[in-house]
Amino acid sequence: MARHRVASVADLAADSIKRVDAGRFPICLAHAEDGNFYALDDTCTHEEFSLSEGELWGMDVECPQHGSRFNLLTGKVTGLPAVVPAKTYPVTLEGGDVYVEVPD
Amino acid sequence: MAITAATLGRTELQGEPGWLSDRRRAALATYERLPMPSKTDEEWRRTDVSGFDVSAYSELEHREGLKLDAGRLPAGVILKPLREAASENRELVEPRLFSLIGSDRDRFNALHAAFFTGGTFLYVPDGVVIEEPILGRHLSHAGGNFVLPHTLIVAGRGARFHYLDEYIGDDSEESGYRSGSAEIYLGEGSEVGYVSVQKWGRNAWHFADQRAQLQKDSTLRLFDVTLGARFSKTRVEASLVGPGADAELKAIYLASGEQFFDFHTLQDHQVGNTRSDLLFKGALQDVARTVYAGLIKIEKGAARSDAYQANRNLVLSDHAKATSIPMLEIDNNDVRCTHGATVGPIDPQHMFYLRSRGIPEATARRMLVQGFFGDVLDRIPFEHARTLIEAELETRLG
Amino acid sequence: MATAPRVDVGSDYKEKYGFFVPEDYVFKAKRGLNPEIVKEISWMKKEPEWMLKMRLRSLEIFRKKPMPTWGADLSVIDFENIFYYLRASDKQSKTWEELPPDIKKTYDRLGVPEAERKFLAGVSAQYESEVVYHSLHEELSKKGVIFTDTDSALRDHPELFKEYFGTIIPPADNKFAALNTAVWSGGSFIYVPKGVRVDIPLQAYFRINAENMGQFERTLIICDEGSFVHYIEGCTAPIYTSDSLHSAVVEIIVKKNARCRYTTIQNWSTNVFNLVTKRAMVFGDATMEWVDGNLGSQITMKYPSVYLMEPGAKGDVLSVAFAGKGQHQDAGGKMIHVAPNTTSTITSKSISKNGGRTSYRGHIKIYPGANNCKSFVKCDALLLDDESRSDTYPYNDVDAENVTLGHEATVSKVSDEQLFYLMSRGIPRAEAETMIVNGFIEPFTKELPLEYAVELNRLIQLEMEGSVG
Repeated sequence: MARHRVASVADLAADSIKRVDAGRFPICLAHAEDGNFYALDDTCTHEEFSLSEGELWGMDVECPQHGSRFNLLTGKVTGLPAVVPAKTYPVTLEGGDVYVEVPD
Repeated sequence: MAITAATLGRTELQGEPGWLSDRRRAALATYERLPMPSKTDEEWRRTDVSGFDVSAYSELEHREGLKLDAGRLPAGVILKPLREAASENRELVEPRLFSLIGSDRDRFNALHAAFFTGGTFLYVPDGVVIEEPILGRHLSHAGGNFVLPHTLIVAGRGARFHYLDEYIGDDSEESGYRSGSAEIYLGEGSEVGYVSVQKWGRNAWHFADQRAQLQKDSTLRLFDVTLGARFSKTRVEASLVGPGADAELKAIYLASGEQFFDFHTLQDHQVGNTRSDLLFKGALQDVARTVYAGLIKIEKGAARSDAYQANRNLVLSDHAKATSIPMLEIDNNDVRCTHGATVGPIDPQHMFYLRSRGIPEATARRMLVQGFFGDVLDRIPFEHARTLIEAELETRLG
Repeated sequence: MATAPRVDVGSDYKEKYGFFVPEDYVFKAKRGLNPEIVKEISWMKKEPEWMLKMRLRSLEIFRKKPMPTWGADLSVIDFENIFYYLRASDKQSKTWEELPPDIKKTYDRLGVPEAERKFLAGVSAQYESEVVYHSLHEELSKKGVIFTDTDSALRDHPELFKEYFGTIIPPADNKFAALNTAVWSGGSFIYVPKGVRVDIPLQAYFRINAENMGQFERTLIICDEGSFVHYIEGCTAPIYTSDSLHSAVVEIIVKKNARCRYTTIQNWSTNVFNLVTKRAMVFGDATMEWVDGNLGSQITMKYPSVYLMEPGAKGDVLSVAFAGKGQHQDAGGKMIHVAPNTTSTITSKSISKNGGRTSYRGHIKIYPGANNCKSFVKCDALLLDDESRSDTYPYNDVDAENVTLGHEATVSKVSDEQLFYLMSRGIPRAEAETMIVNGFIEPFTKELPLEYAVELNRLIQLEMEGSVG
């Protein structure tokens, strides 16, 4: 696993999402309503659109193209038409920085 | 260095007549104007070209990329590199070149029209029959990573002959940009057998447009083989414009490793009393992916058309993916129109039968794949091509 | 319409139909689509805040999404010239005399009873079957079955409602799902508890109120484990509406070992654009069946789909489309195999006549890991003359191992041999053709309740005579 600094905490207001890159992995980084940061693979498992261009809907992120929803904690699908869960990656905060851990 | 307008002035393209240079410039402008196809375009939805960077390739194929081989040709037959014909037989070439496949259908189609390099012009006058097949061999050379041959075939009334386009990659793993397009004009009552065998190197990007126009009572027997390239997109189209026209479009493909093959076909019945028969059969191994999308179009007034279209996929591994989209648009009721698609594994009963005879699994598998292709191989229009294709399959299935 | 005479729907409307009629608010129906209309709809219905938010957001999504570039030509729809919400009392503002003569004639020929006719024609909001509904309702309640209109369900069963609403078909799924979510009204809500089998088909018919046949109805059906329900919407008689756009959304959840059948007979008058999204999510060893007949409308775009989520799930679509002059039926089905050992079939029968156009559009998708699946699609099209058109667009994506997928389609005319055979027995040509067409769609009619099957055959006869539309 490799740890990448992807943003500073100040970059993301609460209840917002942002596209970042952790090495070669495109990541949808979320600052959720519970105050925590979450990282999901940015590519929707349905038809490969970018989740970070969608919207947060409570603890779910919603794909802009067809409205598929994924839970931020687990990556599980919470709304069709996607059926394959999104990959999630561990996030850590250090100082004012956000780190995401991805496979090598 | 990328391909630019300056490339048009390169030695490989010098000595061409003005009309052709003008066309190349126009096609280049079209290329620059058109966007890259995106996932929101239906035709490209499953065909990802985002990994293809044209600017990575700049070395045009040199002039010796084409080897033509034919027996003694009857008087009046013209067989020569297309670029020579553009000067010497302008009246035959100019009105036909790119008028079937176009030069603005998408970026790659335009790029091909702007930079096509090698290629053949074949003209067979009215009533002439050629017994020996004519062989066009297109060889990619080390250093030439931009290889875009174009074949233009004109069959006069009642002409009869066979032609083979063979696209041969060298052994290098070098990636490159390739196409192998063909335009075939079938005059009244002509009979043409056309075979293309694509075996570029495994890292090539291949984009090809093949289109035939069939006049009254003409017969086309087309056979396509796709084996090479890591990405291959081929359009195979036949326009039946005269009654009695008959197009047989057959193809086989064997996709393995990380290969991606895309086929788009069109059987366009513009007039009645025409017949088309299409069968595309493919086997997929490893993590290969294939897309077949075909359309039978029966225009209004094309009564008594008879059209058949089938796509059969044999999926040999857990991770291969096959997409099949056989489509019909029928605007006349007095037709016979059937299509079908299948995607499936080797029939376990067949496998069991062979294994129970003591045949090892790998051999049994090869036999079953060969058996799968068997019925369509019978439709290869001439012996030379058949021998070549069977040998090629034998090696690859080994 | 707003200026036309109104019919009093009675003072006990709220009790009977669960529909709130504000007394001190003069609602004037307005054309056009904007946040104010959406807010008004939500306000009139006294909805919770979350639903208002969802409606407004859906309106935004609707605005952003491009019109589909495939399928039928929808460019003529003028979204600003449509009533998005009409109070029940606004709806019966027509008189019987105002109805187009062809519609009246069809009612006569089909033998539809007077009361029912007026209801179908939008002249009356009531119809005698309310009695049937009330006794049925009691029986269902005893078993714990909820069968109500969707507006009432939001009010009376908020938890159940919120858990599923919009999770099968999110507003962003497509432009018309977004539109529906923004302005939905009416539709059916059904919950069948664990192990309960509802023996008689539930018909939207029973639950008559004017909302029921709305333009933007929203239906949600939840079949709990081991349950069974058959729901029927529509009817064979043409339903007349002066509104040109009908865009419904139907969401269905079929849990383990349950079975749901959803039968539709769509026969909108031929001025209607019918753009409907229907989708079911099916779990282990459960079955979803869509029986879908499309006869009316100017344009229909409808592809009932089934998501096969767990092993043993099964999906069926049986679809019939009839397109006459000026009509385009773009219909089909989608089967999304998510889990291994799931099976699906789609059978489509279409008939085009007098320049009508039918299109089959389908999608079979087998996801990676959904091994050992079987799917079979069969499409038959009958073209009755040389002005008519038929298309077939089947998309088949197989990404799993050991999958057997087959697709077959044929397009033909009425066979000369069959015609000759019947005519040689003294049957006139027109009648012989009708018999052949009825035979052609028999796999469909035999799945219908008897009274529907009889009416459908009668209707086909009418269509064949060219006396309809």
